Amino acid sequence: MLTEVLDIVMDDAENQAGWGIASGDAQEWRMLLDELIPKLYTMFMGRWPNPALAEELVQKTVFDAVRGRHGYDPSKGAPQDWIFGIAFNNIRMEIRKRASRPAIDVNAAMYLQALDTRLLPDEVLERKETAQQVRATLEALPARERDVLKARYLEALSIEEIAGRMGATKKAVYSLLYRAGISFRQRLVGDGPRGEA
Amino acid sequence: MENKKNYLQRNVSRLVKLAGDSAVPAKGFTDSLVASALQELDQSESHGLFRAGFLNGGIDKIMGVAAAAAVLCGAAVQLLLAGLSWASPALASTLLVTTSINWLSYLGRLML
Repeated sequence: MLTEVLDIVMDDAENQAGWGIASGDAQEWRMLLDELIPKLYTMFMGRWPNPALAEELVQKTVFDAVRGRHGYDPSKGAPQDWIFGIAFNNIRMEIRKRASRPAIDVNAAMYLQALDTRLLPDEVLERKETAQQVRATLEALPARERDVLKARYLEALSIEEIAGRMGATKKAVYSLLYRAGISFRQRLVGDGPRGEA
Repeated sequence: MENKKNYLQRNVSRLVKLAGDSAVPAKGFTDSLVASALQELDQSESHGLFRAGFLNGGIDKIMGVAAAAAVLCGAAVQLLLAGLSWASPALASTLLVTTSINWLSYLGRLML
């Protein structure tokens, strides 16, 4: 009897949440996104080990859901299932996109050389060797440059937050970030200064 | 030069992310995405006359707006007909119907 009552209460709560999502209730959306963003990220990373692509796909899925919320019918299932449906659709689109572009040369060095003239193919980023090379390059950078790159791109901090943390002006952070990028590129492709970390 | 800087910055960003913990997204990314999504939600909710509360004053207000729209449409049709006196009746009716449908569709989108 008690379990039946609990089931009814739980179903009712889920239904309420579902209607809140469909009608654009900010509180319901915040709770849903806090729960789903890490799960979506893990799912995309499991498919392609590429954090930048995983973030891009999570972002696309979230915005597809927010913009298409009027098409969600709570009587057909939980909002989580509906959003995962959108995510699977985005995976299918990514697979189709990859199938339609030419195969990538196995020599990643060629692409790394052209770091400032074109966008690196996702396939190069997904190679285990690239990740190892990036870690080694970061470790070889002077501490200040390494810290600013990690704060900006790994922790996704804003320029203001980095400036506060480093006790520097925003302009100085922009400048340091730019110099760190150049330095990172030089070391990564093997034509930069070494051994001054 | 700007393009070169952009490519470098985007590629460095994508590469540095490879050195992070691959199991969870960065907290900064999650916070910023939630904030942007809620902002998008807020903006699209307040779009349109109904959602902005402009037409939420009851049936009198809606009828008033509809009457004003009808008067404006009537005036527009009169002007259009006067301007189309040179055209053949078939062309005139086609232009009239197309213009009316476009305006009705625009008003519909504005209200919803």
